[in-house]
Amino acid sequence: MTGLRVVAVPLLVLGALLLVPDLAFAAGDAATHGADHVPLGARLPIWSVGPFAGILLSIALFPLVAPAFWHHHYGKIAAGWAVLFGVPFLVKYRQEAIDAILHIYAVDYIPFIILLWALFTVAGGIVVRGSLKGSPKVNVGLLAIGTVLASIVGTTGASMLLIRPLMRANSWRINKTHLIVFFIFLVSNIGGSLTPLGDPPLFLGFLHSVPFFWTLHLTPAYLLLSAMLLVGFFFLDRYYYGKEPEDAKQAMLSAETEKFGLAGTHNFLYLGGVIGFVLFSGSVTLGDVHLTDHLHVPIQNLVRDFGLVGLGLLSMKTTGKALREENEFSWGPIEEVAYLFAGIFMTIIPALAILGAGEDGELGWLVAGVQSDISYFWVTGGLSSFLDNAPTYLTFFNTALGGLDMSAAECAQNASLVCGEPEKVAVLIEERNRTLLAISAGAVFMGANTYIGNAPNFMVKAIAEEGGVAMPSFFGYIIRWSLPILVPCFVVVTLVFFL
Amino acid sequence: MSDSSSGDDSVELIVEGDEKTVTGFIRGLFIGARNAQWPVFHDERGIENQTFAEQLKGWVGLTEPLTHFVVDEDSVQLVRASLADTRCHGMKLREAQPVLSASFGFKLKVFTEEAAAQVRAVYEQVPSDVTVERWDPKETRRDGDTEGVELYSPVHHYKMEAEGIVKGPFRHVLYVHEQARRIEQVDEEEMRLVLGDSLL
Repeated sequence: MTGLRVVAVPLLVLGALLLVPDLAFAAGDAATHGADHVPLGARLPIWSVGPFAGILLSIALFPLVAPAFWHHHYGKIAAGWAVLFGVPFLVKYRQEAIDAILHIYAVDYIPFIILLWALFTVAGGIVVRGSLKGSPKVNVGLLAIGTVLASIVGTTGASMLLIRPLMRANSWRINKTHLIVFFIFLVSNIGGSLTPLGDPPLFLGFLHSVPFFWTLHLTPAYLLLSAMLLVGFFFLDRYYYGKEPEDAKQAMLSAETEKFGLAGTHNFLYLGGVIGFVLFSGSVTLGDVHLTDHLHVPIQNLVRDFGLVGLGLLSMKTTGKALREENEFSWGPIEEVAYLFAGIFMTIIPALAILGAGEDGELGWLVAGVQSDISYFWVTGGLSSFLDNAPTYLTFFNTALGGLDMSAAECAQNASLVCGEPEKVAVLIEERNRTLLAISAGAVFMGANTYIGNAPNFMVKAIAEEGGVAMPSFFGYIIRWSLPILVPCFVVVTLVFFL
Repeated sequence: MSDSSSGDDSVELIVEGDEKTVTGFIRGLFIGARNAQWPVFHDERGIENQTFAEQLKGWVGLTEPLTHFVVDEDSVQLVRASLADTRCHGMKLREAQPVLSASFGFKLKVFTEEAAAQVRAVYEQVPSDVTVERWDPKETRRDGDTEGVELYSPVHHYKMEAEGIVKGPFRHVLYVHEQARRIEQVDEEEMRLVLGDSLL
C-alpha cells in the first residue's frame, strides 16, 4: 500500500535517526556541538547551500528538459543531493548535524507529509459527479468554488476534485486553454492563501509558530486578486464562448445533463477532523516529549499527527475503491512529494541556518538586501515562481527572522532569556506583520506564475492535455498568460498592500 | 500569387467599404436571392486575409477597409451587378479572382489514443482530390509506470506528434480546415489561397 508507505517511511527514518545520537556520543567528544557558542549558521560556508539549489533546480528543469529520465529517477536524484550535503555535514559537525537533521525531519518534514497525505487521501475520496453546461457564468461559479475550497482541502485536493468537472462542463468547446490557465491561477494557487491547510508554505509557517488564523490577514489581498481574476476571466470566457460554433452551442444547451452531485460525502467529516486536529495543535499546550536532549516535540503536535494518520486510514477504509477509481485517484502525486521533500528538507538545513544567523551568516547580504515589504513580496514571489514555493517561503521566513534584532527590547518583553523561534515569530508578527504578509502572499500567489511554481500546476496541465486541451508550453504559459494577466494584478496588490 | 490554370468554381472577391456593412449586405443578398451557396468570409473561417501593409493602410485611413470572401462562380455576377447598382453607396468591388487551389499547414500534439484517432480521421480520410504532405505521425507509448497523474514528474502514457500541409481544391480543403479547427490540440495555420487572373 503505497499510501501507507508514504507515511510509514518518514516515521521509520525518524525512529532510526533517534537512535543515532547515542552512537555519535559514543564515538567520543569530538563533536563540535556549540563550538565557541557561535551559531551553526554563522559557521556554515555558503557553498553548503549548493545541494539545496541543486535539488530545487532539478525539480524546475528536469521535467522540462528530460521528462522521461526525471520520471524514472527523481527519487534517486533527490537522494543524491541529500547525501551530497548530509554526509559531509554529519562528518564535520556530528552531534550538531544530527540535531539539525532530526529537528527538521521531526518538526517540518513528517508533519508536512502527514498533513498533505491526510488531505490528499480524504479529498481523493470525494467525487464530484454530473455535468454542468459550461457557460461563462457556470465557469466563473466553478472557479469561485474552487478558489474557496482550496483553502479548506488544499490546492492539490481542490485541483484534483474540480479539474475534471470543469473539463466535463466544457467538453463541447473548442477553446478551453484559458479555462485551465485560470484554474491554475485561482484554484491551484491563489485560493490556497487563507489557511495553513491551503498551501504547503503556509503550513510550514504554522509549523514554525505562525498562528493558524494569522493567515486570514491575507483575506483582503486574496479577495482583491481573486475578484480581479474572476472578472477578467468572465469577460475572456464570454469572448471565447461567443467564438464557439453555433451548432455546438445549441447542442450543448439542449443536451440532457447528468445531475450534479457528490459522492463519498462522509469524507467531509474527516476533512472537518483534519481541520480540528490542526487547530487543536495550534491552540493547546500539553507539554513536550523529549525525543533527544535537543529535540522536544510538543505533545499536541504528536496528537495532531497521529490523528491525521487515523483520519486518512479511516478514509481509506470507509471509501469504496470504485469511488477512488472514479476520481482516477492514485498515490503517485503524494509519493513524489514524500521523496522530493525528504531531499529538500535535508538540503535546506544550511540555507535556513545561515539565514537564521542574520547578518552574521554568509547570506548576510541577502538579509540586509531584502528589507522592504515590496522586496519581500517580489523576491519571495519571483523565486517561488521558478522554485517550489514551500522551501522558498521557509527561506524568506528565516531571512525575515534573521533580520530581527533580537538583542533589543523585544526579547525582554517576551520574558525569555533565550529568544526561540516562537518568540521571534511573535515579534515578527507584532513589529513586521506586513513583511510576513508579503512573504506569504508572494509564495502562495506567485506560485501561479509558471508550471513549476506550485505542485498542482503540472498535474492540472497533464490532466488537461489528456483531456484534449491545448496547453501552452512552459514559456508560452509565462509569455501569453502569467506576464500579461498575473503580473499586472500583482502590481496592483503591491500598490494596495505593500507600498 | 497568380496562376492561369483552372481550379474549382470558387472565386475570391474583395469589396471596399465598411466591413460590417459589406458583410451584412452580402449575406442579405444571398438570402434574398435564395442562393444555396453561402459566401465564405476570410475573417470568420481562418483564411489568410490582407497583407500587413494593406491592414496598416486601412488602419491609418489611407485606404477603405477591404472585405475578402469566396463565392461560387455562379454568384459572382449577382454580387458584381448589385454592387454596381447606383443605390449601393460606400461599397465597391475591388477584385475578383478564381481560386485555383488552397492549402494550410498544421502541427499537433495529442496525449490519448482517442484523440489520436480523432485526428487521424481528419487527416487520413480527406476527400480524394486533397493531399496531406509530410503526414508522418510519431507515436510514443510508455510502460505502465506512467499510469495516473503526478505532480512533479508528469509524463504522458501516450503521445502522438505530427505536422503536415493540406492541399487541394478550395471547398474540400476548407472542409478539412473546419474539421481541424474543431480540435483544440491541432495548431492549424490560416488557409492560403492560390488565385488566378483577375476577372474584372
